[in-house]
Amino acid sequence: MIEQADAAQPRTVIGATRDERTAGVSWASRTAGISMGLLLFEAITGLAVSFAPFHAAVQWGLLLHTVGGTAALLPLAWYATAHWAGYRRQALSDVVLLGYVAVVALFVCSLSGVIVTWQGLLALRTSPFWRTTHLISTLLLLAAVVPHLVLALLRARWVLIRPAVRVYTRRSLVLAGIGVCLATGFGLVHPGTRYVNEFPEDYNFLYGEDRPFAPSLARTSTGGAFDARSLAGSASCGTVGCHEQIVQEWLPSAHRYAAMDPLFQGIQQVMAEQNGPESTRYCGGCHDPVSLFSGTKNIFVADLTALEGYNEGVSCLACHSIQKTDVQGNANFVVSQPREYLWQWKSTGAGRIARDFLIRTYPAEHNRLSKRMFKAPEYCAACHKQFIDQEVNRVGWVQLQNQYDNWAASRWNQEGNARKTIECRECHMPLVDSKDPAAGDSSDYNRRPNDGKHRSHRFLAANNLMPALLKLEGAETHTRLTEHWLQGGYVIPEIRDKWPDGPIVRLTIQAPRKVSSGSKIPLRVILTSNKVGHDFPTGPLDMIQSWVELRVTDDGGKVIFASGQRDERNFIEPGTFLFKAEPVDQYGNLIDRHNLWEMVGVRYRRSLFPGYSDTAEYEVPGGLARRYFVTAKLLYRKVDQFLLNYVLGQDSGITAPIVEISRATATVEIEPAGREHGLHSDKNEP
Amino acid sequence: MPEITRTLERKLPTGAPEPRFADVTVKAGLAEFRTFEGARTSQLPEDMGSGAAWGDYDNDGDDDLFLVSAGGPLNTPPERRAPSLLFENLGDGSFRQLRGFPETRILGMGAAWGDYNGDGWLDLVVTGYDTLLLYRNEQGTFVLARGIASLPGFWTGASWADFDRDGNLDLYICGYVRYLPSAVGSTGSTLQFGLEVPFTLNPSSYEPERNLLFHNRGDGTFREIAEEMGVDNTRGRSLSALWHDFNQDGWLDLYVANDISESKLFLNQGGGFIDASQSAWVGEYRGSMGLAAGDYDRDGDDDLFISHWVAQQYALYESLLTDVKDLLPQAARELHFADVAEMRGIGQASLRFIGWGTEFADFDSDSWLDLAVANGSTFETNDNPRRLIPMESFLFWNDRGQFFHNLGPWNKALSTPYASRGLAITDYDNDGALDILLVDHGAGVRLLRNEIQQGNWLQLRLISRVGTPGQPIGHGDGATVVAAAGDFRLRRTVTSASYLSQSSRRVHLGLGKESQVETLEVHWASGYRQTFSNLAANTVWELTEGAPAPRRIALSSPTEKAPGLDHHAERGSVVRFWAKQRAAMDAMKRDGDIPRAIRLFREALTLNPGHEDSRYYLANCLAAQGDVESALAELTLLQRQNPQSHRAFQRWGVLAATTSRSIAQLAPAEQALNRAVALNPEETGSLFILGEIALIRGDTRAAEQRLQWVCRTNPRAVGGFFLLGYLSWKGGDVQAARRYLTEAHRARGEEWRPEGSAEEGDVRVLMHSTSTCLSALWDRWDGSLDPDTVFRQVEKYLRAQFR
Repeated sequence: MIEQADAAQPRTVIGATRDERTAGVSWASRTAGISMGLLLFEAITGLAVSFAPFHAAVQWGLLLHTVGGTAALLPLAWYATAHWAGYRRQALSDVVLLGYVAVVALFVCSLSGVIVTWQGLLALRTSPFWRTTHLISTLLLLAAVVPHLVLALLRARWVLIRPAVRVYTRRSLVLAGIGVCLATGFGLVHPGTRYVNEFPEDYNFLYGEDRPFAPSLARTSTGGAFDARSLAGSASCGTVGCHEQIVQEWLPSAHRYAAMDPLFQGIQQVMAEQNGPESTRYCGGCHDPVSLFSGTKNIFVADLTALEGYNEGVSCLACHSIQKTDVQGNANFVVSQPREYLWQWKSTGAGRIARDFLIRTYPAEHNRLSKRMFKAPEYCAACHKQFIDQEVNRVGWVQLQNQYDNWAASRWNQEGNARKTIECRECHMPLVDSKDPAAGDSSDYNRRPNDGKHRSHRFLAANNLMPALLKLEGAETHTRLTEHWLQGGYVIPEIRDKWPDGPIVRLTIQAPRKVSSGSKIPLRVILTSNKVGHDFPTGPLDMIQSWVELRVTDDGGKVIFASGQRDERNFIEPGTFLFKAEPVDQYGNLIDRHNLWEMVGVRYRRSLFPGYSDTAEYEVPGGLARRYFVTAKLLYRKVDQFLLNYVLGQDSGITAPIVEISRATATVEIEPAGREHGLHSDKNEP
Repeated sequence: MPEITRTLERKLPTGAPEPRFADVTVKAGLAEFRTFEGARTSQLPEDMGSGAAWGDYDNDGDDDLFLVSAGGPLNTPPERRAPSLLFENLGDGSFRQLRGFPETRILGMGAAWGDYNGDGWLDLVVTGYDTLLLYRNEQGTFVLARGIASLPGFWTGASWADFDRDGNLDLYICGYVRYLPSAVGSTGSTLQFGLEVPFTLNPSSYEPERNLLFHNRGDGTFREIAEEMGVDNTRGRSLSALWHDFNQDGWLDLYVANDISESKLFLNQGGGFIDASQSAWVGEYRGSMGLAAGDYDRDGDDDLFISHWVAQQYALYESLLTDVKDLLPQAARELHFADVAEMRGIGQASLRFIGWGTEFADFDSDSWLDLAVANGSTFETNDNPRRLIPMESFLFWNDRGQFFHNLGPWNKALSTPYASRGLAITDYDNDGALDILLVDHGAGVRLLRNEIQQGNWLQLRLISRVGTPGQPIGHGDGATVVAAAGDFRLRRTVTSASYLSQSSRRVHLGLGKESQVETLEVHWASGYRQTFSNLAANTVWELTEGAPAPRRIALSSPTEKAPGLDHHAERGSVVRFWAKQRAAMDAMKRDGDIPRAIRLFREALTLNPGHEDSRYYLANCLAAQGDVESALAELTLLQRQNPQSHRAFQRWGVLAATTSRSIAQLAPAEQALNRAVALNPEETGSLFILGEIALIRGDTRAAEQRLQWVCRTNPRAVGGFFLLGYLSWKGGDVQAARRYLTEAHRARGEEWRPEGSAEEGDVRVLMHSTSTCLSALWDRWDGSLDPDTVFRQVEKYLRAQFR
């Protein structure tokens, strides 16, 4: 480079050559060629990260870029110093100025490169500032070096320097070429997992060639199968220094055990036997997407859930790879196959370190897994809304569980006013303190990029049975939190101004203060939905139960009247005020095995719309005691006993744990016959 | 006293499991099978049989069972011989005789399954005295094939193998002796190994029979080439032959067990054979009966076990192949064996016994191959010369490759003496533990279910490629797997000889405490090799030749078995079933063509009689046609099939109740509905009809209670409120009656809901029937809220309907 400056001044050509000799640097010198080669290679592989399509070769290039860059730090510094020393007495010119700019850019580029490398290896994530600085300084370096070289060449006496320039060019191009070839070669030879995105040979396209996953509405972006491995591997997301905290939250969550849930497995098996294995695809879109998209739910398959699907249910990638959703429900979403980082599935060892480094330093592809649409209730609606139609039951349309529409029509949805509206994520994914790389968010109305929080991936709701039954990691904590949640004790500070305190459903007893001895006592238990964002309880109501347990005792503690008790087999007694539904088939027989393929309607359905009330009425026989004590409890359990018996066996001894959601008490004085008094209300106990 | 008796107790060897085997023959439905009909006449062909073969003839994932019967006395006409039978494994722990199997009344010896025509369905060869039968399996139906002729001769062991690796299974048949019923001296007695036996029971009284090797031409025909290939073994009285790659060169060698003549090892050298009996030190001259091969000491080569006649000790030939591997150059690695039976505890123990069927199998899944041996004498009992002396069988537990302890005495089923012959192993009930089938001369068979505490295990279903181009429909014949788990390697091969018998093709690997197999090499018979990794334990894996990924096969215990997937999983049948079933559902639900639906449901049920939905809807279609009797019969069947089927009881009760025309007729309906309520007391449907029945019977107290229960739970119970109104009216409380009528009116009306909400259970039109015993009453109700007007009509109706 320096010799071009000399060449620009013909008068000093000879002297300049002497300078070069003195400095030990010339066009033909090895250092110059190698330095330029390294610079070229670094520029190509670095720019590929920003401008080339995501590819294994780019990742290999990035790894070589890092190694090469680190290795080149000293030689480049030495070369630059020597170069400057040789020409520092040169009069200031455009070429010299460009040289200085290049040196400054090189310094910034090297410094930012070192910082990005350090962050890539040891920090949670790389900072966009340093990545951008690294890119801009690279561009600046190129913008200075190229004219610096061109101008110097133009002004040189070509005849004198031609052989040296040839050597210089050859050296630098060969070196850069070797590096690029190496990256490309590695990329071709070790491109990562070679997915088998094919349906099994005997895959039965029962619902049409173009609808391989029907009757589920879930689709893949290609319309074809996705290798099960490509949507699984959640453990690799949760390695130390990555989304460890989030994966720990997800592990006992309902999303995680959506497929391994023994009830799901049992019902899927019954459905396969009774309605054909292909029809279980209906369930797969939401419960078992990994198996669905890999073509596992097929005829002649004894196990309709692939191992990956079984272990991970709604895995990290199954949810985060969704591109598009529709509020029609029934898994109406389009999922794409995430492109793979090298060693993406490694949870330990050098592969994992390299994988983490690549994700941190080359995060664009990884960041595609986080989308703004994930915040919208419409995103959740794809699975949290369900129906059956003629394709499933051969008869006609029936609405099933529908959290989305319940919410949308409720007071919680103040369209256009985020500060008044409470959306799905705000309750079910509350903010938690975070050391996760995903902490902070600039796109949520009440978040900051550095708020040190992430949205919990526990998806706390009402699932208090399975985590313990399946002995999932963290089940105890999760169950405790779930029960706390059901009792309305879970406080979410960021929405405290718009979400009320107290139980999720309030209970009030209306009873006469006094009744005359011997006369019947009318009792009313009023149940009001206080803070539930959708119907309470919400589906599937054929198996979920919430009921009023009422006990009236006299002064002596003798039970005068009871309702909502359970028998020794854990069935709730007949005549209980019960929130649930009794879906039926065409002949009015109960859908009691979640056999939705036969369901055509309901005998009744009882649930509370957000903010609404219902009343349970009782008539307690009169007596001779002085006073009666009334206790009403609202209890909840996730699965009715018949279904548990049917799927897990009569002798399994398993029953769903019962949570007391709220309770109220009242006292009725008994007076000698003749005097009666008006109703009074006792509110919830705190 | 207890101290004294305790000291006399035999203790289980240290570390040995309690050999818990339950005799489940009766429960399995195999107790009726007989191996011999009539009285022996002391002739050799009567005493040598018989065997059994496990094979999944219907490709439903579990092993079915072919049982060979020795038939009966030599001079009995065929029709009086006990038949050889095929039993289908129903998957619920029981077996059913396949009625359509061709009648086979022969003086039977052995049998072996093998898919000789490469169509994916196991065919069957059956041997016997003067009998050689080949049955072709045509998708579950058997026909006698003409591929081999039923030659005269005393044919015993049969073994299939593709010895020349041309993709087609070839067949080796052992010939025993040239028996002559009326030979000179046949009425006298002779010496057999120094012991006196009747002339006609002494094999050495007769010339040896030649052996046969049928080469499969690939077109369904065979050419007999034993002599040409040098394996006809004309000097051997052969009983069993085992194809096994002893020298690990990729070609299946052949070991032939000969009785009172020298046994033979023919090494397969690329499709041709050399006699290596002497050079390998296994050319023994004893009374060899049964054969088993397995790597009992986990040293990487397969050892050979041979059961013998009395006073000869059984042989445990330890292969020295891997022992010389590191010592000698490749060229000098000759195959040698050393008999270590004495050293390993088998020699002395077997001295008094006569052994027959035998297999190596890891009965406790501790990763060490144990050994089962069926014993039974050839001597007649002193008190009854018509009977043979019975003997206990052996279960040798392998103590870490060092010593075999016979655990037979600790198990009643094993220690009860029989004159056993055949023995075959499989996991018939898919519980991961290997079970034993024994064939007893002059009696029947015994199926011993393994209930030993198991270590971790893994099973492999190998799907090899057959034909050209290779279709993945083979059964893994001749394949060897080498599994690495923890610090040991296990070696298994899909071959079996036993004695006249054949064990399962499914490979079982006991893993002890290891929870997975890290790497699994499969050496397919074609020469193709594959490696799989990280296969989880306690799972059946399906490995297909050439397919990259193993497939996990769900293990279903008998109670969890899916009728739709297992009993009828034979693919064609499954496809036909679903076509019929779906067409029936469409006819009924979509087209309303009930007669067609009935026909289709019936057709579907012949293919899959356990299908509950089909039976339930068939019953409903029959009821819709007015054939209530048949409908009730179908529902009764459904109740039996699934006693937890709430709908079977409720529907029965509703149908019976709604068609009753007298109070007396309501009793059985009430019984069925009570059963439904017992199954699910929370459900209001049955409870409501029970309320109606109580009302019809005049039991107002019961009626009122049931109806109130219903109405508290079900706010839409129009009939409940209506009838409660009637009961109040009848009781003189007109005000309450009016209140109930108002409630009924509300319940019948549109359900109020907040605007914009769409709730679970919403429909566009009513699609289910709500008819009950009395539903006509509120269906016809004009909505009047005057109790007198409304309930007088009710009173009239009830009197008219139920006098």
